[in-house]
Amino acid sequence: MMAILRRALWLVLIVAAVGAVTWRPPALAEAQAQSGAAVRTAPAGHRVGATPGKKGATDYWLESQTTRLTAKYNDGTTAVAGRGTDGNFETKLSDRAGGEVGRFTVNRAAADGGTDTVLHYAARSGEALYAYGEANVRPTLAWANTQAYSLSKDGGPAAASGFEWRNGLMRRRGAGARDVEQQLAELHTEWSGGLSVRTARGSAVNLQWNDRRSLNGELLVSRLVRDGVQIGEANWFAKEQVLIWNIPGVTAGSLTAEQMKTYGGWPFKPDAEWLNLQTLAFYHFKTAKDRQGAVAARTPPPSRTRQVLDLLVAPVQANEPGCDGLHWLDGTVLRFCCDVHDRCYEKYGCSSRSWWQFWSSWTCDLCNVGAVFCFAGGGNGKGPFHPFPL
Amino acid sequence: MIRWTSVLVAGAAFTVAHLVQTLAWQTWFHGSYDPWFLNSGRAVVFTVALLVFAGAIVSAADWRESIVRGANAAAGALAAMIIILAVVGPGNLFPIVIAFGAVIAVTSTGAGALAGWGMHRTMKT
Repeated sequence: MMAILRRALWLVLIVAAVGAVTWRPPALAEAQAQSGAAVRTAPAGHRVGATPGKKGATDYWLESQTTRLTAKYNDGTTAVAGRGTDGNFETKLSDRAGGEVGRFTVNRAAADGGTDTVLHYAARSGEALYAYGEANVRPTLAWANTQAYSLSKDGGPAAASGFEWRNGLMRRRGAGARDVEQQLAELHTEWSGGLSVRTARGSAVNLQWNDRRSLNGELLVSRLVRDGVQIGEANWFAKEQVLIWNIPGVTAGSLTAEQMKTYGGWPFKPDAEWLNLQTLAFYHFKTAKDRQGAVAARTPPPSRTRQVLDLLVAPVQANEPGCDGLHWLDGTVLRFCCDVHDRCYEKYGCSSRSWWQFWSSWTCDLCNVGAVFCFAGGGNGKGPFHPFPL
Repeated sequence: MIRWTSVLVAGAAFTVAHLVQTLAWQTWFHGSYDPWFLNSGRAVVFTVALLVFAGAIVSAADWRESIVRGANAAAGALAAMIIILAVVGPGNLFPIVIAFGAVIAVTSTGAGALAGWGMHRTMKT
């Protein structure tokens, strides 16, 4: 009898060991997509392309290359938004004297489950506001600056009346209308590749253009700089709805409201953020086209030695969506860590070699450290030491 | 302290597991990426089962050396895993993949060695 019991005990131990290895906690499995859901088909002739007035993938890609965005407002307030390698943002708000007024962070992963955006505003007074992001609002650095400035002007987190979403911004309930764009005096976009654009607000008085037309009224002047040297300029005349740009040796031209009538007019209200990105786009896409013959990357044919080497090590450079080599975890909260790591690798041109060639790029190392930290923290975006303040 | 038989048995078990997964990746394991045991839950279960079995066999052969043989089996499985991963393509998360795989290999062979030791003791009594 004892022998049978002992055998049964060992069998239970084996089953428990196998189960312990293959079991995934419910929290890990909760994000798995439900199978069997009906496929929604689009009717023939239905427009599925870009929606006029809504930002598209190109705009978000251009924005994603921005490393730092500095906004100066008419009242002397300055907002500086920076992007971390984990995809989160932080805006530091300071007053005319340079004293810090508050900090606003956009954490895309901090919410339970890892899918929501969590917004945090901490005022100089020590009061803080935590809120979930709005589903219709896709945070950008410019949005973070505007939101931080708006919260500061609404009285900070201490508003007794609570907050509400209004036109894509968290506002103090009952607060008066505010056009933050009109209060923006200057916007400085620092982009990848040593490029930057600074747009300032001005006014034009009978500015002669093309010997036929004089331009007046509100003006946005954008200056494109590469490695500290100005290489181009773009101007937006709001009253006349005219965009003029000139990047010597690259591209020059203009767009007027009359020309845009064919397309139904300007599909959005141009602002400083758009002008900065548009100026960068003129330069980036035109130079890429001139250099490669196409905007998409064109690589020269590899040498024979390279082909043999690629045959041997091609899989090393492969990058699949999700967790490469760990697709078992694709449906879990850890997927977030892999996606952030993939984005980070794409952004900085890293490959699997970056793990051992740690001396070649510290940026790639930061991507890797972020992934390890994220995995160790169970994909909650807070790392393994949460809730300890490390 | 190296027990080559244990190393080779566990290494062979992992290799056999990988070969079976490669042959029946779509049908048995419902894999959608390259055949690799951490790319499918079923493949994880299958590999763990073979490693537990391998650990049990090497451990049951000499119960007084169960721990040493179990550790050698874990090293063999780990070595086979790293070699196969290098061949199939490590991907851009490979150190984390190796860490995950190592935990599974060591736990499985360890559990197998424990089971083999227990079975030997049980049969002896």
